[in-house]
Amino acid sequence: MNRVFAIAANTFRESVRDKILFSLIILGFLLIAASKIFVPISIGQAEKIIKDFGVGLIEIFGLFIVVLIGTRILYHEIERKTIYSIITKPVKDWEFVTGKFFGLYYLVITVQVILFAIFFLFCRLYLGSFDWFLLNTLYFYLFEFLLLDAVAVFLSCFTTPITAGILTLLVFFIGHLTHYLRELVLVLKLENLKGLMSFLYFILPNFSVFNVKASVVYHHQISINTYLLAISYSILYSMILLIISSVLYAKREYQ
Amino acid sequence: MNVIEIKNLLKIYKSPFMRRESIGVNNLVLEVYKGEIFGLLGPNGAGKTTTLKIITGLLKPTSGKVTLFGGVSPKEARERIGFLPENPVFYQHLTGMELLKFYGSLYGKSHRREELLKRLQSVGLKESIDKRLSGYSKGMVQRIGIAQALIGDPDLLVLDEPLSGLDPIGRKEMKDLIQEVNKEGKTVLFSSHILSDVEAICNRVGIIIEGRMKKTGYLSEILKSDIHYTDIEIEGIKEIEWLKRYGGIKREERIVYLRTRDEKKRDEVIKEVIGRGGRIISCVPYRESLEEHFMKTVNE
Repeated sequence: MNRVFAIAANTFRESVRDKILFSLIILGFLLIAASKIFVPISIGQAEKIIKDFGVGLIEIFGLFIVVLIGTRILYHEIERKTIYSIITKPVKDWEFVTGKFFGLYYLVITVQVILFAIFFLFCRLYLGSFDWFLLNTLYFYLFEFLLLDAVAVFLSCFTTPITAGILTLLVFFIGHLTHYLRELVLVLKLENLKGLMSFLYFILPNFSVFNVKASVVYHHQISINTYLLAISYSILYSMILLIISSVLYAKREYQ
Repeated sequence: MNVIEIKNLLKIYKSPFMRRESIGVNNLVLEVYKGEIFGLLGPNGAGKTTTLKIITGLLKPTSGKVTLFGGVSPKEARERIGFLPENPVFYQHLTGMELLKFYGSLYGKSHRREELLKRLQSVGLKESIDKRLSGYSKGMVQRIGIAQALIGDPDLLVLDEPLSGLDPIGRKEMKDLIQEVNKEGKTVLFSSHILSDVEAICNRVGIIIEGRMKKTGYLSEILKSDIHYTDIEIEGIKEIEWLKRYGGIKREERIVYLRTRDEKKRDEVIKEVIGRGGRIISCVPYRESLEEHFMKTVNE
């Protein structure tokens, strides 16, 4: 595990020193602060709008990092040829892939936690208090992005960064919708689409498992099963993707 | 025990979408002995880098057998190999010390600062340990490249064009470093275009042309058989006509210059000059240089 940790720490450090982390945090701060402009048109719903906007924005930032950085993370090593001096050392393919995966994940977690802290300060300053129930979204985001990170790494094993980025975005949005679309197909009895929807539902990651935003904003109770499902689904699915990614990576040659 | 043993190696590059194929190396045979410095020579595209990449496990052979350290596959031998790629690129965001620490950790153990410092010192980078690699010159990058290749204390050092792009001072330092490392007992395999440098530091060389190993052998053997001529400077001989039967002559005041192409005649003339009371000022055999030999092999 030493090697995985070393590769992950180096990946994270590269993002920090390239000022990616800093730029993202500044941008996040500005956007959270910009939610104030919605207040005059909110007709007494200022608190709800700020909450919605804040948690939504933090999720978009997570997506932004995974799509823009995550899909390049392996490609970049090959393109620059920095991988030559890593893969010729006693590093196993799965250690390299998992190290890069965790490096990106550290970055996502750090940005999410810092943005939540900024959001907390903003709520305290502007609304006078912070709704601690909102922290539930952070828990679900952490597992949502663990899975999306694995999707991005998996796709980047056999496609270019642009294709992997587009596919990751599609998987994210379709994965949020398959649950509803499958229900819709069943209710409307669309027999032609039933097979396709079931295929998408079972094959693609089901990101609706992590979607508790409405429950959090409206203070609906979240069952313990929902928490457990999110963590177990995310870890299991990510592990499967990482295993496949490592197998794909092991077949790679470096011309 | 051979450190590297390659038999009938074939590498075909296939384009994934087109039906185009190109041959990287073809029926290549190579043996590298323990403790030697082996120089791999060849023109651009001859297959040198392909061979080195197969030895380090970056490429897989299409067919043939590659074994290291008496029977281990390249992937299994990684713990014992240090590799410097051609035109190496390392993480620009790290300092020299951080880079070495990172590569050291890939061997599953943490290196003490003193150990890393010693390694950096050995490659002449002690003054730049806290400087980021983005500020390193080409020569410094090559040196940190050698340091990272040595960090796991490998038995075999594989260097792809370690002298390219270096100025004469940088090349001299790199050659000294390779020889020092070799004195520590490490086997060195390196490729180069710079034949004079290969000639200066290698025990054995191999010449690859169009993916095939055309010639391998000790430098002394390869070049010994090809003595072109010997120039002899003679003093104290009045009569010089008899010298003509040994080769071409030229007189400049008291000194006679003789060029002979025959080693037997060379020995005879030396004896006769001394017998006639003359003196040999110098006797210089002109061998074929590695460059000339290389060009001849390329054109064969």
